[in-house]
Amino acid sequence: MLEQLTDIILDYVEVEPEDVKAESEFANDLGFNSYDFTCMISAVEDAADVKIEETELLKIFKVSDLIELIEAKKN
Amino acid sequence: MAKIIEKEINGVQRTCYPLNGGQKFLYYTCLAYTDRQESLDLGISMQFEGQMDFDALKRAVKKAYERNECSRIRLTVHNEGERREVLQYISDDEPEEPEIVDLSDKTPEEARSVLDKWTQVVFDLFDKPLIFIKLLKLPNNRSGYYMNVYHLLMDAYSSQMFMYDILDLYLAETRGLPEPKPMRSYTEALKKEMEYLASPKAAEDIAYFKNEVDTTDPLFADYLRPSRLIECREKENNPKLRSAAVYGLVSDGEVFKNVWTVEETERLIEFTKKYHLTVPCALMTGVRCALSTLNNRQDNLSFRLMLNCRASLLEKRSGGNVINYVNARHIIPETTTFKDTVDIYGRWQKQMFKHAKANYLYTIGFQREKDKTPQTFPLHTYEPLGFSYWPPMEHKMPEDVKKGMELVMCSTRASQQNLYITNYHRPKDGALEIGMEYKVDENPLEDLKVFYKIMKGSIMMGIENPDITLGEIFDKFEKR
Repeated sequence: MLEQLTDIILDYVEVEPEDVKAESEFANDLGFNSYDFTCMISAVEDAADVKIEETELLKIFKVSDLIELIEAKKN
Repeated sequence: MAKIIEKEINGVQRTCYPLNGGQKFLYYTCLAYTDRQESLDLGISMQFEGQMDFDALKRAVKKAYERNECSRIRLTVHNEGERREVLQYISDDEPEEPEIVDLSDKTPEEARSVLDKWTQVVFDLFDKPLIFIKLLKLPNNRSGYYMNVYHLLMDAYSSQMFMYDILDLYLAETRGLPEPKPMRSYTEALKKEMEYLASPKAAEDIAYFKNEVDTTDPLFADYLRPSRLIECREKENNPKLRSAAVYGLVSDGEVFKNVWTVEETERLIEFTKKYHLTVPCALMTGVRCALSTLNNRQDNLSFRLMLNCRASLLEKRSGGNVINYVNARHIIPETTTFKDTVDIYGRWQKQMFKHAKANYLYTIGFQREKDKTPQTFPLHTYEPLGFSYWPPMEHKMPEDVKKGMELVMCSTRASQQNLYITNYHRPKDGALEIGMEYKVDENPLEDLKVFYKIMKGSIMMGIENPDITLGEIFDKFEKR
């Protein structure tokens, strides 16, 4: 899951693949702003075939938050 | 659906693309209703300590032109039957070598005045270059380069990217630094936008903003206090009028600039990080506090937010003008805390960003249809001002270069919006710089200074005490 997410993340921010870790914060570590973060999440929704609600989006700060949410939705 | 057309222009076969959303807004709204074409010039200069190697700089400029397709955009008119359309193509003509201009015998203010004058030229719009660059010898042993690019080719973000590309190419040659990464294709980004416009998502996004127009009942509130709405009501003999006819005509403009200290800027950033908020939303809350205080504590407020619609690396590195606008319309009671107000803007933004590609022209059309306002100038609007925020553009460069560097946004001295607030971080130290572009004839500077004082003061109060309510902030300013 981390690998698939990394591929999507690398389409949006200029970081190296090894910089994307489960504990990486989207804003502080990976350099996402609100707009590109929202667009990246849309791409993740399409790729994973899930829908992330606004209330759920507000709780996503780290890569691990997103991974846990997607895994919970798929199970 | 928009098409890509192959046509011969001046004896050369060209692939012509439709204008993108940002370009359409400028061409069919801003440019269509003014004879001051120069109001869309975008002048920018990068300046450094010491003397640059101008031969190396010329080579860097040439490479930058080659790497950045958007710098070579030409506009063209395409006639098909009775239909007239403006299209764009990428020219492969060799651009003019930049001239070296010696301004070293002038004062810094005189030199700045020359740059502003260069930012007021009238380009020949069709099938001609819409950009020029000059290399500068400046006062006080400084040097640099200047670019004027027509706004349909680049916006503030992409023009800075282009200027940094020149710098990186220059440093690669003169200091042996790594060559900058390749830029991305502008025409590839155009094709992506065309795919989006033909998709069901585009209709969904437009519907979002139609719903916003249908379900909101905004009320104009100006930084000139309620006077302009009252004047419009009297002029139109309509005491219930909620919009003011103040938008669209281009007249002489100036910029009122304020710079925060590095410490103040860091406090703002720390505050937003601590509460998972954002700097632009905190600044918008400051704008809100100022508008509300100056309009009898009105809680129903709207202003125009400018969006830099760049998310993917393709969008970020392909240049062009991808600016769009949305209306930030909210009714927020004064019992709401500063922190919660910033959060309200943040939550709204996250929802709105999903649909932000829908062109603002649609929102304008829906509003006109709803209100049945006349389409003569000045246009009716609920939004007294425009607001933009540019996040810090982190750019690696040697410390000695960064220390003496200055990025100068030059003035066309022509303004279409009544007030346009741009917030950006100075490259050399990250300090927040707030520029307020205003119309000289219509907007007293003294009133603008009051507006700014309340805007900044309320943000500082909110940082100091995040649980202070908007009402308590208004009380403090009303007592002064």
